[in-house]
Amino acid sequence: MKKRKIEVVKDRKIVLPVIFLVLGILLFSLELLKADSAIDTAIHWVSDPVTVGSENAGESISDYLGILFDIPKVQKELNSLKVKLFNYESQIAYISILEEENSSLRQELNLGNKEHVYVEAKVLGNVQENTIRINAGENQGIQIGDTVSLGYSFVGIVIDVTEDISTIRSPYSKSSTFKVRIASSEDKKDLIGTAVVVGSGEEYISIENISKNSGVKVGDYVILNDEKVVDNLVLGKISELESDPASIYVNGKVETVVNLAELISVFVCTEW
Amino acid sequence: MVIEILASIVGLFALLSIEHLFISLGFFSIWAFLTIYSYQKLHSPFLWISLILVGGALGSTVGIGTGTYLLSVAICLLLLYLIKSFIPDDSFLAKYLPYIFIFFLFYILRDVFGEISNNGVFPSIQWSDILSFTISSIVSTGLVILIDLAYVQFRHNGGISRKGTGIEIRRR
Repeated sequence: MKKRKIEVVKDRKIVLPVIFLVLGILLFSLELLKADSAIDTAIHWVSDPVTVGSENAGESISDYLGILFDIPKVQKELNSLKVKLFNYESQIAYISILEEENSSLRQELNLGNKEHVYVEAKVLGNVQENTIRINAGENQGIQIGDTVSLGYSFVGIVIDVTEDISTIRSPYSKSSTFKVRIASSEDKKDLIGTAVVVGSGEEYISIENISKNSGVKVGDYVILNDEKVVDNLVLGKISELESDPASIYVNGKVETVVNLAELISVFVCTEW
Repeated sequence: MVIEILASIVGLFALLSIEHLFISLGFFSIWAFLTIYSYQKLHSPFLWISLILVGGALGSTVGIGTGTYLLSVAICLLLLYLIKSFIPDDSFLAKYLPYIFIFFLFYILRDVFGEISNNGVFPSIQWSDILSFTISSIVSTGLVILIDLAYVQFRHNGGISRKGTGIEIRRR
């Protein structure tokens, strides 16, 4: 009796798989025979409102997780792009130097006196205040006292020379003193008078001994007229004037035309 | 009775929804897990009717052919029945190792029947598919173990004497 009961229990256990099997075979056969379109439509009609939303949500989460898994790959790509960017930046820097050199050469070629001999040099930086170091020296024919210019603008005088490096004293230096002429800003050919410029050691150049009767104004051009340097180079413009009633002279300040701190290429006049 | 019917209807749609969510995420089949796990453990007719209805619908909604899910799981359940009939499950491995095999077989069969149903050809199963099926099978089996352990813990805390692991159906 007990044995028979156990057999009944075992039989019941197999009922469920058999039901699944029968239904599975039935539906699968209908599917293979393409006879389940009505069932298919009914199932979709009932279940689509429930399944589509969850499917979309699942895809969104999957995309998000995919992005998280892709972070190391993106990081690698970012690093390689950074390297490329650095390469491009260095190329751009090189091209801008070439452009600047090209522009400097154009300025230099426009000089009135083309008989002068110039040596092109690149600015390496400042050694002390109001000095500039360039990458040309004795090997290029540069000597102490040579004039350094950029186009018509005065840059400084060579004060120290080694084989391949020279040091230039800028007009801002306290040791710089030049005789100059002042030209009207309205008519550049109209020379108003003479004066003396002295470096202040700060961010301006002092101009002294301008005759009160000269009619000098702020904005007038200061042109070098000194035997130490090449003639007719522009030092800068008068930026400020001070008149002392007790004196017959007017003093003032001059600012250079070119920004000496941003120079890249300069030209050293070795013969004039 | 009415509440059970209503709960079954709600559960049916919830299961459909969760199954689709899991498929989109590339997880294991929650329907296969419930069906295989509940076999010989739960005997509620409402549960089994719901599982059969969901299984019938899934093949169609997932797009791998109506009856694919039911047929795949039917073969797995038959095999599980045979394993449980001939191999005693008195050790941990003997109890849970068959589950890994059964779940793995379900994923393989679902793939095979789905391809036959859609294209009439036997699918070319890649190593990546096998790896994915293996992981899903291990995760499903892990879940079986966790539920069994939780049930044992629950029984222990409730003061009922502990006898083996898992849900046991006792006949009086």
